[in-house]
Amino acid sequence: MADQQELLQEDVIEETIEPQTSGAIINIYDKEEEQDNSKGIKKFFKNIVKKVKAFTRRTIIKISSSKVAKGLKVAWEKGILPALKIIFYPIVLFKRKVYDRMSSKGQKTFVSIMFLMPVLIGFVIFYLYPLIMSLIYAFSEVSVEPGKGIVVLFGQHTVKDGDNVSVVRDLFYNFKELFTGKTGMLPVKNPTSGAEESISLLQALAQTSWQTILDTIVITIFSLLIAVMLNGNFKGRAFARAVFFLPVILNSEAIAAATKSTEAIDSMLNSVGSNALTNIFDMKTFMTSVGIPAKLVTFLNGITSTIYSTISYAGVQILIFLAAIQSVPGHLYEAAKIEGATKYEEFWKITLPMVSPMILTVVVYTIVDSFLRSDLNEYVQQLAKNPLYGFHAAASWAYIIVSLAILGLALVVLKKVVFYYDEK
Amino acid sequence: MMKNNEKTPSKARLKYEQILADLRNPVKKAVRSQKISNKLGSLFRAILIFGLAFVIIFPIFQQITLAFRHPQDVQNPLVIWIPEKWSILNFKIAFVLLKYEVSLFNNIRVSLVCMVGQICCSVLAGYALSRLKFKGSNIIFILIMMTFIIPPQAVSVSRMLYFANFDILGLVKLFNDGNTISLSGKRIILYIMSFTGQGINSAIFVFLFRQFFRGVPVELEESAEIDGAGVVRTFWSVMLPNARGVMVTVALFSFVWQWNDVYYTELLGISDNFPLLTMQLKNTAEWLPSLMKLYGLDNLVDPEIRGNALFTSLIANTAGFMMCLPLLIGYLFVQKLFVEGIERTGIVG
Repeated sequence: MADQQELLQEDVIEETIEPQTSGAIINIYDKEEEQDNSKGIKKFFKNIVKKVKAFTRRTIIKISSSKVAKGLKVAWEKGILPALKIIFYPIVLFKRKVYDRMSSKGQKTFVSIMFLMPVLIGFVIFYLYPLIMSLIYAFSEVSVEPGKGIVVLFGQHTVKDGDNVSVVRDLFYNFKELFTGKTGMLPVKNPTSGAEESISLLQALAQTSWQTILDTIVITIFSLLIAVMLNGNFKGRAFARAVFFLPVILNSEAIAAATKSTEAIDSMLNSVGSNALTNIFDMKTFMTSVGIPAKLVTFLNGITSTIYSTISYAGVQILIFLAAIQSVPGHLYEAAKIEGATKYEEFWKITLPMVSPMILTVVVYTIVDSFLRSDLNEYVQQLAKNPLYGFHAAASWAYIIVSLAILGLALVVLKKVVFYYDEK
Repeated sequence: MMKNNEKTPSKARLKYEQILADLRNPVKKAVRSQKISNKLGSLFRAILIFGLAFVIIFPIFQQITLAFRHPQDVQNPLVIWIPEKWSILNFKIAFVLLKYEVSLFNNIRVSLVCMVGQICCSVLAGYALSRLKFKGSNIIFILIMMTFIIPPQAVSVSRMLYFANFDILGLVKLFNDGNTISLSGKRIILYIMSFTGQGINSAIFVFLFRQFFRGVPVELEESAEIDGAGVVRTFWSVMLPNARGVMVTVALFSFVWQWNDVYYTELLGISDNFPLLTMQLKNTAEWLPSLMKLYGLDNLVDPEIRGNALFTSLIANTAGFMMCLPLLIGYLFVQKLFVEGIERTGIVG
């Protein structure tokens, strides 16, 4: 009993102390928390959080009042702090002698460069160097030998034809092989018959580009619509927003790969007529059993599957659009309202032009993203796993050039649409 | 007509007149049509949002019911939604195969460290590129965006070889007796990359921060300067607290992307002695029968079912669900903060 009372007293004391310590910082978020009287699960979790906080505070007080802590404090003051001062003395000196004497603009530039330093270092070491090397690899034969490391033969290729080994001097050997020879064959599932077919890299590039263009148009329009919708004021907006970003979280390459390896078996079993899992759980069967006409069901099913994949790939785009819509100055809408504009007109005459610079960003993001998701990328990665490094580099440069071409096309098309609003 | 009515003004007639007048009044007409269109719009929006939410949530329920199904019911045509036999056998098997107790914490560790790194470097870069402009900073921005436009996936081989024989300008060779060091299989490289802005989609985060800081009013900065704050001080105590919303967004995205990432872990060969959920899941789906033999799980399931391809599908599904579960639970808690964060992502003073 006595222990409990002590604990209770401690709690009371801490609670009386609390407002003083946290009162120094005025915080909007905390005020909100104090105001709402939540019930049920929320209250339960809040209580847990409160208890955990009280516990940590108590333990911190206990630890800080112990002898070890005092000893550490003395050590920090007498030993470590002076040592740190000596170690960092050059930096302090630099600040006093150089940085403080700079003009305000010079200081800004200096700080800016310092802030950019990590990214610049990473860019040079982890990105630029591999990029240049990959360009060299694309025109050469690359192999890894245990003793020597990477061996690069620029513009040279050894060709084995039975027992004959000959050296071919051809700069574009990798590209030629990929576009015409066997290494360029890419296994692709035929959408109508389901059989595996192999197409050359050239065909694959064309297919992927076409798919990318379609994807980009659909996703851009869709995400803009969703963003406009989510921006409006309605009941359950927070819930809707939370749900709409769920696919971003659940969209995982690994899960897709895991279910893909079993998909082939499922589809085979389906064609035989056995009850495969995917079939049982399909919305299709569910809806036909409810009594919806078959044509409508197939139509709806097609739409839902596309919608799901579209949403799961449109997360970032929706986010970018939402941010852009929110940064449209409110007085424009007010003026439009006074002039008697409808919501429809507001969208076409205010929201769309103001958001248009972001359309460019979204289009660029979508193009890059859909290229990354394509079969082409998978195939290029496959080349890397078989040690065909030269071919991989060549294929990836073909990939880069095509994706850049599509980006350029998009930029040219969008340049006429984009409108820059200048407030000054 | 009007004169007749004046003589015998019945109440019903008056009401009728009133309604007719209202119908003809152009102002009220406009108000009415606006009201109707608003109502229709909100109805349409409600239907659309409800439908899309259904499309999103439906597969999750599907996965959950599938996960609780006993392997014996795998081919039972009677079971559609509610399993005949509830069991957590699938979870047990997936738990062992995923090495869940180890890989879960590994995943959390890697994702957290990478998240912190990505936030740090991208917030600094975003601020420098939007507010501390100097000659050439636009070129740097274009270069950073290039890392996204030409994705690292496109140069993965040269990167892989580079990490296997790591050497910066011959410096490593100089100090290491003419040998390069191999960095593949070491997870520290993931951390270094995320701290130097080469993590997953770091360029997008830099872009988001830049976009945000551009929208913050200049007056805020100027008043801080007048009060005597230096450049770093202004950033730290004026701009950074304002960027809370974007930070939450970036944190969520970077955490999730790192969690679900296959490419980097595979490329760097990290999973060999450091099991991560994604790689374990991939292995599970590919080598289920032999893995079950390896871990001594054979006696849990009848051999007839074990050979069934659908069983593999069932386990893969459950394992996938288990991989997502921590994210889902985490999202339930962070969701409010995230939605608020979205509201503050594009704010303009």
